[in-house]
Amino acid sequence: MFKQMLSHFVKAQSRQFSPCLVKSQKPDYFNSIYPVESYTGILNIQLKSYDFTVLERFSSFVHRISENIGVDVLDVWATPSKAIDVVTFQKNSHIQQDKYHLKEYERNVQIDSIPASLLSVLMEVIHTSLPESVKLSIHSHEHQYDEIRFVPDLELKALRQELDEITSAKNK
Amino acid sequence: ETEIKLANNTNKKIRGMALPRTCINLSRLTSTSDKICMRLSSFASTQTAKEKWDLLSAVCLERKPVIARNLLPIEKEVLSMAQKMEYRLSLKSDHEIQLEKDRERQERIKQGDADDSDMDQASLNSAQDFEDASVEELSKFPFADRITEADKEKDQKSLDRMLDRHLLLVVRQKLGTSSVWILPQGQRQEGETMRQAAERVLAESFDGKVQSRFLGNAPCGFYKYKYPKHIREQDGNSIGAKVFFFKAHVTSDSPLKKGSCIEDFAWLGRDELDSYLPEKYRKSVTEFLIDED
Repeated sequence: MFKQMLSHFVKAQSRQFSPCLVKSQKPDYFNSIYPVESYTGILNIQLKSYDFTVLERFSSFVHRISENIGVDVLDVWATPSKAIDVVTFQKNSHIQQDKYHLKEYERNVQIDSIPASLLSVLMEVIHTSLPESVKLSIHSHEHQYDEIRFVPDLELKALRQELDEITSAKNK
Repeated sequence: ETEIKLANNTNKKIRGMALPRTCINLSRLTSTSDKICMRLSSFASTQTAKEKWDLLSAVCLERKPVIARNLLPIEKEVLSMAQKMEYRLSLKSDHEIQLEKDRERQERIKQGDADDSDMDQASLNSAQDFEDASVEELSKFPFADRITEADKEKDQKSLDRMLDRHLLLVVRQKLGTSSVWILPQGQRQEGETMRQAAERVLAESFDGKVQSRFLGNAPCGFYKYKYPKHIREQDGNSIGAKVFFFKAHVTSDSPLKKGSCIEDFAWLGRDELDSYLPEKYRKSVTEFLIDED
């Protein structure tokens, strides 16, 4: 009976002490079961509107909110606006009734490596606080969005074309 | 006390024989080992008895507001102030410059200082005419009603109701023996992620595809509940269920048709949730819903 009690006591003691051992050295499998947070790449929050004042105010709001939420805001820029002409015709004819000149302005807020769980919160907040007439698009950054910002240098293009013509004429 | 008694007993019994030292020491230890055993029995039961919980995903499907809310008085004041500041700080637009030029030209014609170019220009459509025509067109434009027919009829199945507020999809499902009004939920099957389970739950709850956009793979909320005792105590059954909520936006206007998995559904505003959802459940759900004052 004493032997049983002894073995029981020794086992009990070891069970009591073993959690302390685990605390000091975490086993290897602990790293794999711990949830891994996935981070997105560079994202552009693109805001488009016909109303310039509202758009500017809202883009600064989005910038402020992203910073306060703890997101890395890389850049905030304005893309050149698009001029849109809308022509209405009289019924069943080619006679112009009205002509409207619209300008679509654009603002972009670029954010980097946001945890995926935080992104859904940010998207929800921005979507809910969208003012009237503003269109929202959140997409990954691509080269084309950088290219649109720059006005093409027509002189340089013309010179290059001339150079190409000269070299091709020489080769012939 | 027990320690001393045992020692005395052993001493009494084996008075003649010389007791080995280990026996006496062990007798002292038995009481402490009893205490350790008692402490550890509770410790062991929590560690070794693995509680089995069912994993469920639920869908928080919302229709976002279609029109902007009416402004509060303070919001109106701020807006008018902002507009005044914007007007003061802005430069003159082309239209305003044209108006000024036209006015100056009119003045010159009146006073007889007109040039030939002025007379030519005066015959064209002036900026003032354009402005008048635009204002008239705006006044004739028919704005749609903010309060729709669905609002008047209080049709809870329609997506046209409460255009300036959020509408949340709530269904009546049978859980066990009773039916409750909850967000559509279902158990995760083998080989599915939690988000895939949520999408499947939505597809099974309604006939035809529900046009929705899920916001990410991370759940937005959590709720757990235990099953009734008679189910819990059966061997191999789980103790309860853990529900993970996934947020989604509905992207089409078309009305939904009830599927076979649910008994009824409704699109509810925030104030109506009180009377439909159970109390504790509603508290967990409102944690992740956007506030509306």
